[in-house]
Amino acid sequence: MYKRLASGLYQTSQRRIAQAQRQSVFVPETVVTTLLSGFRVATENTGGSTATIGVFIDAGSRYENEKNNGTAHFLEHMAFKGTPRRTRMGLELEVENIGAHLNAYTSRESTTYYAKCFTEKLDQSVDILSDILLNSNLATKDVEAERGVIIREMEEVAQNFQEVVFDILHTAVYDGNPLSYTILGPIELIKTINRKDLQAYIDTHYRSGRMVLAAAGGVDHDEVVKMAEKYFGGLQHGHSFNELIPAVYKPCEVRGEVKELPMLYGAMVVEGVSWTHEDNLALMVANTLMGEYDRMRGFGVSAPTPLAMKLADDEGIGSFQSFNTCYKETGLIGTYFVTAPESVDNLIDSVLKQWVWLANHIDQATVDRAKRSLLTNLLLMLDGSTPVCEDIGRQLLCYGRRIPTPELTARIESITVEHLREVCQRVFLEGQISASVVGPTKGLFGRNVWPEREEIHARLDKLCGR
Amino acid sequence: METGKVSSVNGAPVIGRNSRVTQLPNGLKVCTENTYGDFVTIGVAVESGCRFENGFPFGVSRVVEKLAFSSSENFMNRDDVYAQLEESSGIVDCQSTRDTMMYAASCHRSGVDSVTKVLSDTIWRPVIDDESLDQAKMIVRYESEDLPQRIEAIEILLTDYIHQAAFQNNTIGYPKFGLDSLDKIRVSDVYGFLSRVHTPERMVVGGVGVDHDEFVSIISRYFDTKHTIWNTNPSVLPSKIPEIDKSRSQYTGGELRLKSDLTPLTIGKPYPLLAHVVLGLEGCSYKDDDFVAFCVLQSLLGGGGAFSAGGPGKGMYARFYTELMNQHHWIYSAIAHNHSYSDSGVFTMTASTYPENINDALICLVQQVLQLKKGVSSEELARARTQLRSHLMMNLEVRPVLFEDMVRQVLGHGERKQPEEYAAKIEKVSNSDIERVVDRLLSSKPSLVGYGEIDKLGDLRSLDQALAKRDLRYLFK
Repeated sequence: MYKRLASGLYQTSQRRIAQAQRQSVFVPETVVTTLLSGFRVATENTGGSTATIGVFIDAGSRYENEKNNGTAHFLEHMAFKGTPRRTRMGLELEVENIGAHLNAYTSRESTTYYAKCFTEKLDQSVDILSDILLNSNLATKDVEAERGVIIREMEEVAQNFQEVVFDILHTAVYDGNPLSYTILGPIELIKTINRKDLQAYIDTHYRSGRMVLAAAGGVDHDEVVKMAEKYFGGLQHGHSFNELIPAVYKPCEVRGEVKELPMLYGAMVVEGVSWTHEDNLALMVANTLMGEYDRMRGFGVSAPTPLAMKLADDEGIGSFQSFNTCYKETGLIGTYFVTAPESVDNLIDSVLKQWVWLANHIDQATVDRAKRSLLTNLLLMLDGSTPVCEDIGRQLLCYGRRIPTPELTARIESITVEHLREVCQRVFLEGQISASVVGPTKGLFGRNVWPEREEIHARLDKLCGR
Repeated sequence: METGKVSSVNGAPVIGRNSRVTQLPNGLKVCTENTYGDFVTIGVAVESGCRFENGFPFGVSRVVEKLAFSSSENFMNRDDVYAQLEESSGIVDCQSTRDTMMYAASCHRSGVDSVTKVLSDTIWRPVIDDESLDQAKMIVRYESEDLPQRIEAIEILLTDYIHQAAFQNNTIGYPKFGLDSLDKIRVSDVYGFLSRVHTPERMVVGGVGVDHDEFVSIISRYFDTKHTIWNTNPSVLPSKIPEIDKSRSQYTGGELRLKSDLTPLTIGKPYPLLAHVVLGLEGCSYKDDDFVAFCVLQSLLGGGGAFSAGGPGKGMYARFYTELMNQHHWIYSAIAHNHSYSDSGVFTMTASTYPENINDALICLVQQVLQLKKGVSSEELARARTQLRSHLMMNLEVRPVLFEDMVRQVLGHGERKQPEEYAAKIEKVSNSDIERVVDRLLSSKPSLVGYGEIDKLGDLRSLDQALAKRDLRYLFK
């Protein structure tokens, strides 16, 4: 297997060189301009008659406090309610009539507003984006009406166990830090957040140094720079580093008892790394090697990992999905799962064994395949102006620049088996395990279905021969 | 990796689609277009699918779809295919619709040759045995049984039902998700179907992001008619293979009432128990002069549902929102669709509501059709045109969509019609065009589907009269 793959890789790279001589390939580059205010403009001209343009803001629920948690998300809801220049209906009709689309979302670390439009409507779209971002009416009656909508959204989120699992995980492992907050905020605050809170959030966080105007599709960089100056020229200066309170990972376990549920939903994690940490790419390879499985959908487009093959044999396992979540100074890496209570032990042992395999036994051929598969998935995602624009915006906020594809390729290719093993040893085998589980967590005689951390660590030690 | 701009005006890359089509001596058409970046999408569209199953056991095309990318002459099994794809940084997919089977792959430019080998092998040299056939049937059965249990899948089912009602027992009215004849399918039936239907003159190979001449030479190498498995080993074929059903589709109109208890769909969901109604009227072929006008009409009615999110730009001012969902809180979703095929089509309007309101929902849909006779405002029509145009052009940003559009054009029209051509036609659609297609709709016999708890739903006769006499009262009970 190893030999065959290795020879295949060699042939491929030879062909690539041969082909490059015959055919010139247009690969657009990302052009970045920083205005004097610190506001950044980043574009990639992929051509075509349509484009996506968005404002990416280094602000999210982690910049909130215990008195205003939920404000960033509340603002997103208020964005389409009108400005002094545009009534709500006027705004909606304007967008519909030019064939554009508006969208917005809020996460723990960032806030995004973007428009998809015909290239000749780019200027108008940036005008709309800046208007709804900076001049939203925040009328008291709209704020009151929107509370109900957000509370309904909250009830829907409560039905989505995956969201619940990650929310309570963050609440526990980052306890005491705003990174532990939920994006929607607690119901008491949703009921009390007012116009003043919303305006204060904009004034504090929508600062020039924290915003990126990113665009992809049929876009001309110089034109977009002019639009940025025209519509975002008057921003107050400021950066986020004064506002960021670094979070510290505290290992723990949380159980949310919902005894009516037939399955247990949960996540088992160790602390990962930040966006810019040197081990991030190695962990992305490790994450690819953990893989995913869903009993309803099968294995997915990529070849199944050993963990997926093993858990597919256990009918008690509904699905699992590995994840690697990064933040500015920390991260969470692990496995999300849906399992019957009877299969919990098999699940834990299988995941631990896969960690040990990653740290001690993984071979060159497997690593090479995973690196290729990771790169393929990363690059295939970048299709169409919206994913490209979102990637530019995200990278500018996370890395401060857009990593060019050849660099990304080279960096992934340079990861050696030894390096990957060493990182996995440190992160998984020497890490502190945390878990959050929701469902029937109490077994017979009140026994916990999900074991204590100490017991999981003891099992891991045994597997490692420690 | 060599990169360089092809040419540049004002800093903007001039990619230009540069569409080219070449027909190989065996009848196979090869078409290519340019795009940017290191990845390409290649694949094959075949004039195949459930419409061509007449004479074969029904369900055979879905079995073919599920067998794709497993064992073939040069690839022992799916793992073998995955290994090849990983080398080429590729992913593959096969999907069948009523009239087309689409095999597609996205991969790195350098992998075009080896991925074409995978594609050609799975299309012309599949190795099918009882075991792999049984596995494919199992997936088909699972999918058919799973569909009615998922609320998101209701639209897929309703689309299948309205085709059955509108084209009774012929061509595009054959059921896609039926299981009745699944057990009858033998390995030789699958090979028989492939040998008749998956022939070069019924296929188009496409490449987006590839060099035309080089691609043509790769395709000629791998798609040699002499090397299909049924030519090299005719013993795989049954003794008698049915001829392809080349009959024109016949819009019959008609009714399909599926009384069903849909309460299980509501468990754990924030939705009430719903019943569903679809009104279908004869539409047109995509070759018809009125095709674009029908599409604009669809954009004008638009709609969506409680299951799909809608923000500014998603058609909030289309009639099914402003006049149905915003006016009647009991209408959970309402949406119009235009289904067009090579020789006919059906225009459908679907509504979901509480069982006690199901007849009211049908009345609302009929009223929407009748109301179109009063004409549309120029602002409304302009919006519908712009939205359709933006929908078209934005979808085509995505390489696999561009690929599919290209190969479907060449398969259906014999040539590549540029999206810009359609965009220009859309802009020309006037009020009188809309009036004309509305008259066409109103002169057709209706088709009706009811699904769920539908005791209150009016019958086809009353619906027919209401439409013919332009009088909703025939539907009042």
